[in-house]
Amino acid sequence: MPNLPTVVLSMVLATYLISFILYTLNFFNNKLYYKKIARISSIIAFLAITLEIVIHTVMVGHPPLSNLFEFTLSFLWGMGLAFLIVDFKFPTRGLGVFFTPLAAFMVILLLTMEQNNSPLMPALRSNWLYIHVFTAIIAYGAFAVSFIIAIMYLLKEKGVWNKFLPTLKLLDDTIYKIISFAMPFLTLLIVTGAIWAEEAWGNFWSWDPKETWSLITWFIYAAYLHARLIGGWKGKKSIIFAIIGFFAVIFTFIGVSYLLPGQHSYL
Amino acid sequence: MLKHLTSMKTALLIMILIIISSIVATFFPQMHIYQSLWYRGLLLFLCLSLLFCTTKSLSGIIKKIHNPPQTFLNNFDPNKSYSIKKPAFATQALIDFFKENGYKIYSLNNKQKNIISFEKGILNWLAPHILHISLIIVLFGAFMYTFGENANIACYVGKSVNLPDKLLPGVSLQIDDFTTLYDDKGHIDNWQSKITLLNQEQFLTSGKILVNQPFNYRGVKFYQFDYGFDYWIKVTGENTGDYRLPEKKTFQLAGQKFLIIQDHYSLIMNTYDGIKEEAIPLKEGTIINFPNNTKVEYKQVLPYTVLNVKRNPGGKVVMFGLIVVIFSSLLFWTPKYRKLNIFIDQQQNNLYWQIICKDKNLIYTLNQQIKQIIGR
Repeated sequence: MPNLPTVVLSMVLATYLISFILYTLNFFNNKLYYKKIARISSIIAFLAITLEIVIHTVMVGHPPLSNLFEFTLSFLWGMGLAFLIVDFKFPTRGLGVFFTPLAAFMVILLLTMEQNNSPLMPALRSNWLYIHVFTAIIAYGAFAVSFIIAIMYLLKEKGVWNKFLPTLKLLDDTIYKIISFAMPFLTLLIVTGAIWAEEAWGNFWSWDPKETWSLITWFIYAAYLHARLIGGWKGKKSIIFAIIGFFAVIFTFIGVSYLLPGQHSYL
Repeated sequence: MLKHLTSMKTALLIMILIIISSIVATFFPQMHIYQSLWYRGLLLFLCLSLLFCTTKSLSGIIKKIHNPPQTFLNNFDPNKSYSIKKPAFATQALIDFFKENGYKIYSLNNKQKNIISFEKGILNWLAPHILHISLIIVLFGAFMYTFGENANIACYVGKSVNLPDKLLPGVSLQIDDFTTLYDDKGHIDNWQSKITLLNQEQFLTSGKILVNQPFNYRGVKFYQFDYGFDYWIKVTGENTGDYRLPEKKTFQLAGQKFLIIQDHYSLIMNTYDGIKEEAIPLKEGTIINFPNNTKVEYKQVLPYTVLNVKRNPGGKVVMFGLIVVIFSSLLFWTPKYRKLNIFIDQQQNNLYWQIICKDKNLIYTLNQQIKQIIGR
């Protein structure tokens, strides 16, 4: 008999798949009621992820922030939140069509992952953990959505679904706004990590692979913002930075954990 | 050279070079890129670029803060004027509206002309400049950090050890206690060392050190780094003497191999004579017979703790810089910078305005609001 977390995750998967179908219908038909129901379904999915986090916290005794399964769950929550905000705030028609399959894929990953419910190691038993990982969730979630919009930009530029996708300018501006919002979170992620590392190990910075990759990610997005704000780069040139930036996020998140073990290898 | 260091292209180039070399460094740690002179040179160039860019923009920052309203006069486009019937009424309506919305108002009035400047979001405008300054502080602190001293000090519980002179001259560290702390569910919560610092047997201070809770004494920090247990045995017969043995390490005595391991509930000595393996539970005073009339008496467990002791002159500078980074990061979320310059020509009943803002949507909204207020 499946346990409660699996049931909730399956519900998240189902609602995101329903959202996908409805967003797709809205994308090609532009019927508002499809979008309305799709949004309701996405909100339910987001609430179900929140419920999953609550259940996990109660069962394990700490919020899901300390291993790959837990962080994937939290990352999904951050993505879900960022998606809902962008979907409501900006007229990015088609965003749901691209976001929901990605979210569904992440739920499938979660369902196949081993739920490592081990207790927190002493170094992680600090209030810094909550601030540090929360900033990561928000930053990475927002960057994921900016990446999806960057892909939409490239498709539009290539003439794919040209009729249905929003204008290049709108997509470009939305990416910029999301990255501008998320960048301070990424900065806070690195800074809180440095302060915590000093408290725990006596070093602000130890060139641990995860630390270094988060710095690499920061530099990529900083380069994007500088190129756009001061260099006047717009469109494809700056979009490339946004795409590379998200690849760096993914590598920091997954690649480093498997390929470059270090002080953060428990993640 | 100076021109290059303040240019956007140079800053981007330095950032891209740091990105590429850092990627290579994570995949090939054996290359020791972070310690290389050229990598540190890149960080120095980044620091210089930040320094020169910030210095360059400082005059602009000061000018902007003290910008007198009359300088706006020359910037108005006379073709974008709007005739209004009641200039005084419109002026007051604009002041009331923007005051209510948190704008800072500067005005310069004389008999013929009203020049009013409305400004909001100065903190947002300052954010990148403060961030740049804070990054310089962090990098400077990191440079000072390299002059720090540190040592790993291992000591048995109940014993004391002299600290290196480079850290605290003449001071000895006494370990009063070392304990593993458990949470309600029986999981390891933390490791705690209780210490006393002495100067020629005279008490200086005492305290406890846990993971995430270092102990600080006169700028020297003590971190819980490691711990372990040694086992004290007394051997008679072959190799007579007292020994302190680490756990899980195999030794040979009188032709027989043995090691000590801590099981969940008990301490065990495993012996192996080449044929037979035996597990013997250990208690204080347990005597084990080895070949050749050799006896091993288990005396007691000797817990030890390892502390990382540091003196880092740049630590406070880095910490200050990081706090400023946090502060400046928060400023990025404050309302966006916008400035409205309004010039009311009371003789001609004309009103001109200009909006300085990077957000085009905001410019549109402000234009709409002004038109609504002045009744157009």
